[in-house]
Amino acid sequence: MSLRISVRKSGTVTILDLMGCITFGAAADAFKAQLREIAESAERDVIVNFAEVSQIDSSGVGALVQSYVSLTRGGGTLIVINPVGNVREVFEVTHLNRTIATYADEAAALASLRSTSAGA
Amino acid sequence: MRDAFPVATELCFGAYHVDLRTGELRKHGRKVRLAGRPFQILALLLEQPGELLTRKQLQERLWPRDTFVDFEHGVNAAIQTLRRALCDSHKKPRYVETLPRRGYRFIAAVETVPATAGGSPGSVVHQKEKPAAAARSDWIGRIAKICDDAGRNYVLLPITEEIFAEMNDCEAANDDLGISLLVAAEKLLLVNCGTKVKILDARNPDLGCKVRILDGQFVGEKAFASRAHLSGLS
Repeated sequence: MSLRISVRKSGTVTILDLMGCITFGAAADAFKAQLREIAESAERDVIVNFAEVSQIDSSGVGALVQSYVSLTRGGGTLIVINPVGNVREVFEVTHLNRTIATYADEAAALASLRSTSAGA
Repeated sequence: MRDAFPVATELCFGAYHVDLRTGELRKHGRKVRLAGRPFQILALLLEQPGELLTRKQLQERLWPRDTFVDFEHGVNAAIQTLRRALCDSHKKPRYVETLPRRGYRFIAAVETVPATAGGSPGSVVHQKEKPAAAARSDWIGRIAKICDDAGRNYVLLPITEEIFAEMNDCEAANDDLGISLLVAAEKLLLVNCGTKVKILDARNPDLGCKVRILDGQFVGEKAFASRAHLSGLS
């Protein structure tokens, strides 16, 4: 099963809705490329929605961590929402859930980004 | 101050091993830095796993009556240090549970390690390192399965024993990004439980074995599997 990425905006925040599996090969590469594009843009706050992702492997975790580091270094923010099932477990085992801010829904993630911006 | 430790003994929970005589805590055989009151609190919690240890009991046993100290701050700081050493979380505790306004409870299963010859109960043994278990050359070439005693479907396998040590250091320091980066760099391999591995080296079987992965995403790769993550060996 491949990965489908839908991109939408909420104000200055980019939201990626993912569907499928983020595994070694084209899927992980496409995911990383999409996040790199955001890291190189002017608006670097991104929410990644994992609600429809059924599987993620080391390559997917690697893509997410590397993107998180480059976005953060560039002054951006990466937030994860809705990791479920196996994906959630992978996040726990790899400590990603403690490294990257994770929320149960989009509204909470957007509110967090807005409060961060307001406090800046 | 009286000695807060119970009768000398060795205990295990999860990946941890506690020697109450020497005041040492180990995870997968590697020493975890924990001393003073945080270690004493752990010892008190392990006296009665599953039972409430009240803040008053803690105060009476660990803070002398004739000393004026900020007990509330002291106990909170000590519990925080203990949780860090155990990679535990206040919100999702695996070991130390907080009972608000009352105290703490140790919630994991605790096993007693049978006493070894040479030390009478209660005696203080100044032992720098546990003697290493004999190498298990009979394990070499055997097939084992990767497992996780916490019941998860995945484990992280370090690619070498050095990375295993680095991972433990990250966990002890609560360096979550460090762990994630080791995964991203494929120095920690995310492996499904049930994955078969072949034992290549078992010089320090208490700690773990060098293995070759036989199936899954990392088939053919070498890794270091801690003893706790290997099943099918005896």
